[in-house]
Amino acid sequence: MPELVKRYFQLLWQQRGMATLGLLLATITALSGIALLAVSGWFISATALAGLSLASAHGFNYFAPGAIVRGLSIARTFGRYGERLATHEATFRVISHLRSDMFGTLTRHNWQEQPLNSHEASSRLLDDIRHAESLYLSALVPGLVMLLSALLYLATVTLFLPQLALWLLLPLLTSVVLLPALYLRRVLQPQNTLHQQRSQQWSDAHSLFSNLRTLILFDRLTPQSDKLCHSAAIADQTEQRASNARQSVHALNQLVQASMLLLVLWQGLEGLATGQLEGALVFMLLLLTLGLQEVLTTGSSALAAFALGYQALQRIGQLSPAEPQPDQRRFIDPASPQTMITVENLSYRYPTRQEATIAALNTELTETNWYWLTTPSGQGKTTLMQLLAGQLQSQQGRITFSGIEANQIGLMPQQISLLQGSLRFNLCLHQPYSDAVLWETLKMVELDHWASGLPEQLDSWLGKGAHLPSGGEVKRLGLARLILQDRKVLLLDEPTAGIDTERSQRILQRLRQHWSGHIIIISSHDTALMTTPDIRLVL
Amino acid sequence: MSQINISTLQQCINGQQLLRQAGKISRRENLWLTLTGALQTAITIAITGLIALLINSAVYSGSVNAPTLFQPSIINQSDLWQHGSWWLLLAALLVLRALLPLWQTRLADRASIRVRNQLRSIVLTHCAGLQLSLEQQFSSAELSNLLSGEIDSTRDYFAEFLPQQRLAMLAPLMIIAACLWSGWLVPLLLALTAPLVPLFMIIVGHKAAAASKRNLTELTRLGNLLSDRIKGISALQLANSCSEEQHNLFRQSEQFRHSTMQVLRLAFLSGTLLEFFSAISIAMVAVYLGLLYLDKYQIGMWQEQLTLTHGIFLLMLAPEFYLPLRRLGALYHARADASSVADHLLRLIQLKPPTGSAATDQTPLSEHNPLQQISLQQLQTGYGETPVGKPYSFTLKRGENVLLKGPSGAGKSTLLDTLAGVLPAISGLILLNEIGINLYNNRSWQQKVGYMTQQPELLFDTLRNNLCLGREFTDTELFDALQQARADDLVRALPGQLDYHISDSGGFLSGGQAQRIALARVFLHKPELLLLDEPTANLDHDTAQQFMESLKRFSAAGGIVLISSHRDEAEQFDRVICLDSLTTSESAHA
Repeated sequence: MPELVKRYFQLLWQQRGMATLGLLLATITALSGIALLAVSGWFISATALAGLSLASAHGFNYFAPGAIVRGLSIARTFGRYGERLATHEATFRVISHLRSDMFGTLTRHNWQEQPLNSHEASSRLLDDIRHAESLYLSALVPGLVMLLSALLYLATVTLFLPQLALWLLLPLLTSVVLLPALYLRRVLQPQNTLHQQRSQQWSDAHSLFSNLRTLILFDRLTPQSDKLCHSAAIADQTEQRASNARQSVHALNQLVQASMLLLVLWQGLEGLATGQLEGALVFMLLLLTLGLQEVLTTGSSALAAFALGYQALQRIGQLSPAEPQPDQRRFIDPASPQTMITVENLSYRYPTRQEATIAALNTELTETNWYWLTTPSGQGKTTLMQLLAGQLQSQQGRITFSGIEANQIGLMPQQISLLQGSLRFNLCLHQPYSDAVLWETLKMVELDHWASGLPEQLDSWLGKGAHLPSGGEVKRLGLARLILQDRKVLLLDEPTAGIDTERSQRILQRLRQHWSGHIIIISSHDTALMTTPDIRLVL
Repeated sequence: MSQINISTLQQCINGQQLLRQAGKISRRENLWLTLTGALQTAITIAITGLIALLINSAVYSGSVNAPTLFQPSIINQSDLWQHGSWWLLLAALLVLRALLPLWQTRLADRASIRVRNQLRSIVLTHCAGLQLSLEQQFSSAELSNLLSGEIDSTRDYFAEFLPQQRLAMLAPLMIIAACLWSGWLVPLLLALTAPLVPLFMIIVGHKAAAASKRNLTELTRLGNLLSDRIKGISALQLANSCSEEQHNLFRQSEQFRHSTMQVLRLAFLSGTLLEFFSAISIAMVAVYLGLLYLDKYQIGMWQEQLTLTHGIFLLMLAPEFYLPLRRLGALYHARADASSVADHLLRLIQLKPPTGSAATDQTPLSEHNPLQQISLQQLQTGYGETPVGKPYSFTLKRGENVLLKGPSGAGKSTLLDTLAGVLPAISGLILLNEIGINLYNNRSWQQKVGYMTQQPELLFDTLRNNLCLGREFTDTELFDALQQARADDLVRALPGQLDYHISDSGGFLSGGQAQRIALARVFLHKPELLLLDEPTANLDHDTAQQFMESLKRFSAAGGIVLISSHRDEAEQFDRVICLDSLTTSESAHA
């Protein structure tokens, strides 16, 4: 069983109070619905027969059945309402936990080697996870209710007319076991294909709308639109196939149920003729069967719903490896006042490349200083930074840090990701900093003027549609984040790209003061920014 | 086949109306669906009647206890159930009832596919007309979701809700008519409760619709938050604040749960109401008939002596009366969902295409007259009516390599968009070889332009298709262009090389790599004017140097290059145009 399915059932177990309540109410509702029909059927046939003679009509106790019928109808109504609320409540609670758990799993993994497909990941966390709700809601509950109702039905029939029960065994078994299995087989495959085709459709749509300029210039807007329509049409066809498959199994089920109806009627009437069955009971048995059929119809998709939910969870689980890679870095003597980094025989090769990006690198960073990586791109500057920061794990060799712990290494990546939220959130990222500290930091990266020009200053919303900072401003925001985080070893990957030389010089000057006594590794091709004490690292 | 055009949809005042209009596309299928539904109900009525007759005949023939009350007609009926032909008829009707839905589904799916196809193509045609002004109002993710997920999700509305809506009126009427066969009280009871149902549903539905809209907003918010945080996962990892974010997401998810439950409490209420009517009507009919049989009163029936046939018939039809309404109630969410999708669609459809499009100049530029110079005269660029930057005037000449400098907000990117002919100018003139021309949407002009945007635009497709974009090139030509853009080695290292499939977020391509691929595409198509927006932002010094060499070769061959950049690379260019100083000189003139 996949990890996530196990986790799902654990969470469901945690919500067992609500889940059991839902199941209980569902059973009560189904049974009282069936009973309501059966008792009503019995009541009118019995009264009709009793009404034939004046004496029996007079002695007939109609109060009790009348009350039972009313009670059952109320039980069915309120049972249904309660059942729906309870089952949904239980499901959504599980989903809430599952979603945040899953995000937690994603965050424990590094996505540098194999970039996370963010559209896919978020659609899985949002949509697939809702398929997962069918595990309990449309599989466990109706499935169990169906089984229970079918058993009780069979027992009741046996009580009144044993040979009918024998006749019914086969169609009932078909309806409860065979057809759900067939449903599963027929529907699952087109449903999976549909899932893939819909995501193809999404990427075609995304290709269209995120490449407007190129498509317009190359006059490709129409072909790309046609491509989107085409992939949508293919997906629609699959959707139709799935719906046809569903309906054909449903029709089969209806046929089986029709045969049950005929059997009950025929055997009932035979039983009546031979005197095995009272007149009032024929109609009762018939309505009992009709009542059960409603339950059987809802239950026939239970197995497929289970499989769909199971697969959805499996898909989500495939997003990330179960175990994060072990940290290959070594941290010794964290209490030592002297911070040191030793790199021994370090090699790293990307899984998709033939050649190693970093091969047998040896270096020692013993003093606190600025270390510059100025080699041309493609030679592993970023890779080394990510190895040092623990975002990548080396295949060979070793990195040893002394005088610090793992959480004291800070990295400013090349691509600074701006998160949806206020400027304050983008700076703090959930850590508490005072306004004074924030402003001071902004001043250090010369963003204070920009920030005070925003309508709500620190609380202004950043991002598309609101205030979208320019490339250089985003870089400086990234620097500000790192300054706030207060780490002992700082890794700066192209921190000055998109910032003009004078401003870069001013900012680096401030950083030199602020970070004195730290080890700073900076990658940049702007060698003009180097100063005399700085050391050039050669890869 | 019914067709519908965009102007009909644009005139809709709300999403509901748009849905109704769109539903007209499948008018014929809907009619058939309603008819089949009516047939279905008729069959049910027939089956019920038949069962009632069969049981009645058997019960009375068996009840020898009360021979005195037997009437002649009943005696005639009494061996009805022993005739095989009645059983055959019943079986045939049951089979027909089981198989009819197969045909119904086929029709319904065809209807919904037709409607959705038309909606998609209408929206896409409209988007093609809107061009870049689309970007101002809608993000690409929003549009992608609209065109894939959201329109798809209207399936249930067009396939099931629409036909069921009519059936929910028709089927109960048929059942009332059938019940009139035995008496008037039961049909009256049904007829009296029936209007209560829609009434309550409207009351509940109004609240549910509002709550559902809120819920959808909440869902979108949660979705955006999720995808945003997943995109920014590395920033959170670097800041060690993953667990806080996880907690935050949990809180948001819980909030979504609360709002969903709020919607469901109301939505289920309308379902429960139907459930209540259906259950209580069975109970009422049963008790009423029982007392009637016991001769407690005599009311509501045509005959004085009531047989079991009528009782069975009425009792079995009572739940059928509410069934279509119950089905409709179950589809209510489909309507709510579809209506919010329709609102979204309407917002897009009602966007006006840019005004410049009306005056599009499509006079083809003469082919054998190469581009000598472009002059801008007081050209004011901007989006829609909103100007970006100041009006600028300058001239670019054949063979020139020009740097466009200026602070953010001076309108560098907007100017490049305008020159590429994808954005209409607000005012001012552009002269091409000293002849005035409207560049916007000018196909023959756009073919002369190579444009590389700040965020390199790449399709989720193979590298080859990304480079060729519908035109034919040999592999040698492709690799030549890649080599010019310093991307040949990079492509050779990719699995599948030119057939490598670029996926969401660029696959394994870094920002700089994607930029070089986009650049190779520009070189491949040999434009006369090359517009580059911040092309060196992600390149290191050496690569940038090599890149500048390529540009020099390009301009030496007669092309014009215009580059916008933050960086100071003035020495590399023939000329620097500083948008800021142009502004000042411009104001000095004024």
